[in-house]
Amino acid sequence: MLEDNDDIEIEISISESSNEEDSEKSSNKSKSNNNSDKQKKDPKKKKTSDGVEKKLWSVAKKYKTLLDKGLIPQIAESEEDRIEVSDAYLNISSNRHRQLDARVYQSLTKMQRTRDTKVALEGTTERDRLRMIAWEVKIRTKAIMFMPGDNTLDMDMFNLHDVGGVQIIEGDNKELLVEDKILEGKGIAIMESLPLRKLTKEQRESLKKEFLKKFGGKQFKISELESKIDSIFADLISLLVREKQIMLLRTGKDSIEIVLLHTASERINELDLVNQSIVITPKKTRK
Amino acid sequence: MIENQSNNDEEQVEERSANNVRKKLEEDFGEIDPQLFLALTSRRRLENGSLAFGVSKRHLRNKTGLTLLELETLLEDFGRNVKRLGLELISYVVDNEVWYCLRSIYVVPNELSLDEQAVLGTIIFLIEKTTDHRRREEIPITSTILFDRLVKRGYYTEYSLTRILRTLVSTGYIRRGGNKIRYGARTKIEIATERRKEIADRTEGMLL
Repeated sequence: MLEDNDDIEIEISISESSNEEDSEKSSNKSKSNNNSDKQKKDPKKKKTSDGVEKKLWSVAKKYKTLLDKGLIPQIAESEEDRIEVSDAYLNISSNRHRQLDARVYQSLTKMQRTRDTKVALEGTTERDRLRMIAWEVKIRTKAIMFMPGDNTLDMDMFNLHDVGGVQIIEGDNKELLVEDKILEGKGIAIMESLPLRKLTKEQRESLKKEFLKKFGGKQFKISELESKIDSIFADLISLLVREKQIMLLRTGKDSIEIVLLHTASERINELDLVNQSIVITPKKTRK
Repeated sequence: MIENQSNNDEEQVEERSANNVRKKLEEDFGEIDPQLFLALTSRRRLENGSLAFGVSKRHLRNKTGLTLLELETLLEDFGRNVKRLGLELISYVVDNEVWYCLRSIYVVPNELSLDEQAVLGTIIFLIEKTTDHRRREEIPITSTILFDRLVKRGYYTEYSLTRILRTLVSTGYIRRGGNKIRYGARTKIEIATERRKEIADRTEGMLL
């Protein structure tokens, strides 16, 4: 959106410099005019339209330079300038003069405002000034609405499954493979579209603790377990099994026990175990 | 009377097409407005470190499979709904890509600290002062000018100003490239052009 505006900068600087040349020429003219005016110093000087234009130009130029440089003249000096152009409107003969007149008054007003600010700010500390600037920003901001949090993951839009929705699919007495018919149409497509979770070590540990506290050493009916775990806990089960921290024991026709290996290793050794795969996949509630 | 009738007809056609789009999406994804709201109010950090907020048009179209017209109908309808909550749907362009996000209708507190707002105000003042308003493009300022203003004149130390600038970059308010400082997309969205001019006018002469 924001392009490098070097070219434009150059264009502007050219146009500005040409303007400056113009204005310099005019200011030279006005200076010479001023000199001649000063030489004459006659209160009843002839106010031709040309003379008015030169006078207006000289004041406009003077204040542009001062405002650009951030210089503030004395009040008396500004007042003299104002008196000098105060009756210029009597001799205005064209639109150009009118615009110039307006420009001069705008410059005088702006200078007065800057002077007022300077006077008002006298005695204020740096902190006060910064607070004032911050206030000007604060009262003009229409903020963008954000959900709390800042992350590095893309929003997995329109794949927001209900977090409680998982299903447990059991295989026979063998490993389940992605190509297995039993999985077809049940969850693979959804699994592939799930976002990749990146968690920090601390987040993983805290989730593990929470999971073990809630489910460790307890027995559940399969349908009950399905309703109690979400896709995050399903991932955790997989992780904890891989890390040999837990084991899922089929303890009845329709029940599963989540056994903590370090506390129940003896009991496990006594049992005659058969290896069986289960897959916990997200359940898409609406299709 | 006839005009009224045709207006009503148009409204009905629009409503019907919005409902059709909604139905079509709800079949695939469930309730659409809550998901759209979450997507539009999300933000994430891109690989280049900049902040992306809302959701891009391309992403929306890829995910929903809607035509351009259908998408616009859906968003217009959604925009009308969120207005009741004091929000408005905004579109903005970054790197030739259209993005959408939600903005508050009223002036509300922003997430910047006092110092960050003060530095942003100073940057706005400096950029607006150098920008020629007859042209639309903003002219970037150099970091040197800002450091001259705020560090050399004793408002901040070099370290604290650098830290503030880093926050402003990371929150998307300004963009820095080389020695140049430009407005970020967030400044342009949250503070409209005329408001930026007002800030520049009001802060004139406030810094020493």
